[in-house]
Amino acid sequence: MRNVMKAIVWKEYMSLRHRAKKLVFSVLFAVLYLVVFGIIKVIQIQNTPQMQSIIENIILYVCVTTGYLILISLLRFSQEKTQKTLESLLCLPVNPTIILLSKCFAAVLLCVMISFFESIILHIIFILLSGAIFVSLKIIVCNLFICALLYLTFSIINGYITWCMNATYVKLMSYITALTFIGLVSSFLYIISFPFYMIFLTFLGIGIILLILAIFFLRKVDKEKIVLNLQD
Amino acid sequence: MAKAIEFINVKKSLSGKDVLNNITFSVNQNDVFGYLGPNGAGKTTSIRLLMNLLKCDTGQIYINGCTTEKPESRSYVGFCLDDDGLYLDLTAYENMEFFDRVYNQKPKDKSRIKELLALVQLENTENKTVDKFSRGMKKRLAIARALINDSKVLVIDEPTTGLDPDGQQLVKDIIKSLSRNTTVFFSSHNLNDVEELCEKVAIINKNLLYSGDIKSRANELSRISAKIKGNSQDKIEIMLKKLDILKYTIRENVLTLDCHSDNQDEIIQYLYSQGFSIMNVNKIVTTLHDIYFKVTREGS
Repeated sequence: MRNVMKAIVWKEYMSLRHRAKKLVFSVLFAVLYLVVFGIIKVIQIQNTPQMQSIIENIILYVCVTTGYLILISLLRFSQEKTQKTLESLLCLPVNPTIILLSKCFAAVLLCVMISFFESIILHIIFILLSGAIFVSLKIIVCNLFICALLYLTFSIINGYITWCMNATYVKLMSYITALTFIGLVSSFLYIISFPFYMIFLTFLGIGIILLILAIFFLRKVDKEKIVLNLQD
Repeated sequence: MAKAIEFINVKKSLSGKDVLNNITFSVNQNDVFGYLGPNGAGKTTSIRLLMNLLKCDTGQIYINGCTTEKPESRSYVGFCLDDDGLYLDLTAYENMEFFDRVYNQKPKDKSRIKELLALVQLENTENKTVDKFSRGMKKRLAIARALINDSKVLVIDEPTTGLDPDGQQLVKDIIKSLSRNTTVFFSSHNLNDVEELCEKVAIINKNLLYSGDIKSRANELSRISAKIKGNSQDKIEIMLKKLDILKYTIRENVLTLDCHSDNQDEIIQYLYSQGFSIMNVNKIVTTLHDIYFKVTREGS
């Protein structure tokens, strides 16, 4: 089982390497967009008492949002269907839940790592910008926790819907995915003014709801359902 | 003889329609076994059941004595499904390495992968991404990939479909070379390929129509057609009762005998020795085509 999981993670990584350029450009644009707005906001509130807390909020929010964008690009459940590789993948000597989890794990691991490094880079940017030296461990830890929770649960739900449910649900999910991203980006400047604990609890609440859904879906993963869904 | 694959009373319905109905047959170890049937007969469903992609409604399938419901049953099965299942954004080498990593605790050295790529004549394209491959190249790569785990059982759906004549011959040569220590189970519409490669076949059309040896069935269906001068029907009938004839017909002085191919020569000699004036005689050799059409028409 470990072999298969490691092999799937390796395969996802190799696949990513082949399209790294495309991915970097699309993600860079979103990161820059958010960071530029963040910088403008920090310049506006420079030397005010709430500056550090807003910087913390910006770092958390930007990391979670850009990580989400990267995750959407990395999750390749539908490609397994369109490239007709899903049946071969399901023939591997493990149960389908492991296959689905391995694919999620590969994408989530990378996103969490990117989010982590992004939080460090943003720290450096904002230290240089504000002149105040601070390292918020709280943000780094919360960022890792929130990203791991949200991305893993979202990936499982995304994988289940793409593989086990019909085209209507897949479309619905892609609309929700896109709307979530638009919502996150457009509410950026509004949300970063909230107290940190509110942002954290909001993400945590969403994460718990997604976790319940993900566990429910994971228990329903079934090879026959996936194969028959392929024929529809 | 130990069984590599066993279908026991397998029944499967999809969307309320019977796709397979009480299918029972077995494949001996190291046999090259052809799986035949018209379109919609249930071949692909059978392969999906064999690979545990679908569950049997009733019955059981075993691979080397292990039920297909257990993932371990597929540890030593190489497979090449109809869709090839190759990752288009990975190179040929990476596609091979992925499966090598799946099956082997310690991924094998590069030489084994290169050896298999050379076997299917893709050694010069190992660093090309598969999206640049022709259909034939993809099929060959899929077959090479199926061999990466040194499988004891190889399941191939339509191995020669989409290949040019050279590619077809190459795949057939590979299958022949594997037959010494691997059980090969393949479905095909190409009866010539099956006849060339297999000794045993199963023919299905939702039900099992035939399962067994091609030669012995061909032997059973062999015939002699002899044109005899003059009307000697009474004489023939008396004489033929003495011989091991399965069935005979006489129409416009043409005598057609259904007999085992083993005693065709003996019967012809006997006809001459009894003084029949035979104008010409044809041994009608039964091929897999005859068997296939006979059982599918009778079956339907």
